[in-house]
Amino acid sequence: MEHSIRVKLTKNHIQELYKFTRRRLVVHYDLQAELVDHLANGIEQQWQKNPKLTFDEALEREFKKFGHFGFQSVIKFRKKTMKTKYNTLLFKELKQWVSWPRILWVLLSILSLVMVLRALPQEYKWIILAVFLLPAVAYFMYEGHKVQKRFRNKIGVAKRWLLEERLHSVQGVSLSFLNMFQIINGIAIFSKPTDILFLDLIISILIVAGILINYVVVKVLPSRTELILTQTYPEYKLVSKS
Amino acid sequence: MANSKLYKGSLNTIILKLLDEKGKMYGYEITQKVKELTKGELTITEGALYPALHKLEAEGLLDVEVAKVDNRIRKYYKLTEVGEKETVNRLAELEEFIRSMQNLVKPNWSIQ
Repeated sequence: MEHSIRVKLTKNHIQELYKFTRRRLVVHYDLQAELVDHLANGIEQQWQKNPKLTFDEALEREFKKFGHFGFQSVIKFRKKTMKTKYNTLLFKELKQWVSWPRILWVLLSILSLVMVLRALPQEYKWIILAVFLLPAVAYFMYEGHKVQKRFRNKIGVAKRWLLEERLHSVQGVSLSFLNMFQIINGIAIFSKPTDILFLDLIISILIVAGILINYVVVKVLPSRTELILTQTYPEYKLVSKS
Repeated sequence: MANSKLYKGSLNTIILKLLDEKGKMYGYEITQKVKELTKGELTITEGALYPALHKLEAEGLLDVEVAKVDNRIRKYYKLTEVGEKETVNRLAELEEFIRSMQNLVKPNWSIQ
């Protein structure tokens, strides 16, 4: 880069800084923007003291201030806070299902499921249950795949936001639904015949909870991406407009 | 430079106190202000500042605002209502800690 006596960075310099952060594995725009402004301020201050410094030299000095691991600790912590944010959103949504009036539907579903399980012949119960639940698992996996695909298509064309990525990484959830079968199977093997009513109740609660969580993760939260991003990132609208 | 380990536990309180006084600040401004106030004795490292800011934001103590300044986006942090209350608590805790340390290091009694 050219020697510069400018005190303010140009648009090209800012673009260089964005590239610099991307090369150092800052892939999300929310973090890139904050780090770019920080580096830019640092470089401008260095130029005030020593105008003969090149852009690259000043940048190198500023970057060193982030320490041995560079941006890694900032990225790691940001991911952790966004995970907490996501869990809070999920919890808030699920809370609506355990309060009036939706709780009524949840209780009715659990009750109906218990009655169905009670009516099924004991020896074929688990097979029949699995046959009926497989379409639900397949549905959530298909919907989850669609959500992921939609997000993947955006990568490279649009800016990436950390929380947006979290909202669209839903592959683990449908699999956790499959894990539930193992739990049910485990409970079924180790329970005594006298526990059947209790067992049916536990299984019904697990299934309804599983369907609810999958529904919120795969359908509800991704459909609110725009709103959630606007509320989380004040820069989201600013960037979308420009 | 002062032993940064001694300051580490107080970083969040320092940030909250600065925001309480200045209203809103951006990351780089905070590092410079701390340097200026402590006459270069204390430098907040960039690798510690942003995780601290993001944590306080996630806890609901800080709110963010953005503005376009000199071809780039600047993110300002300011205290929320909860943050204002928490600043008072944390400053009281810090003052209590300083008093305890003074008693330990410079006790006002002597065996002689």
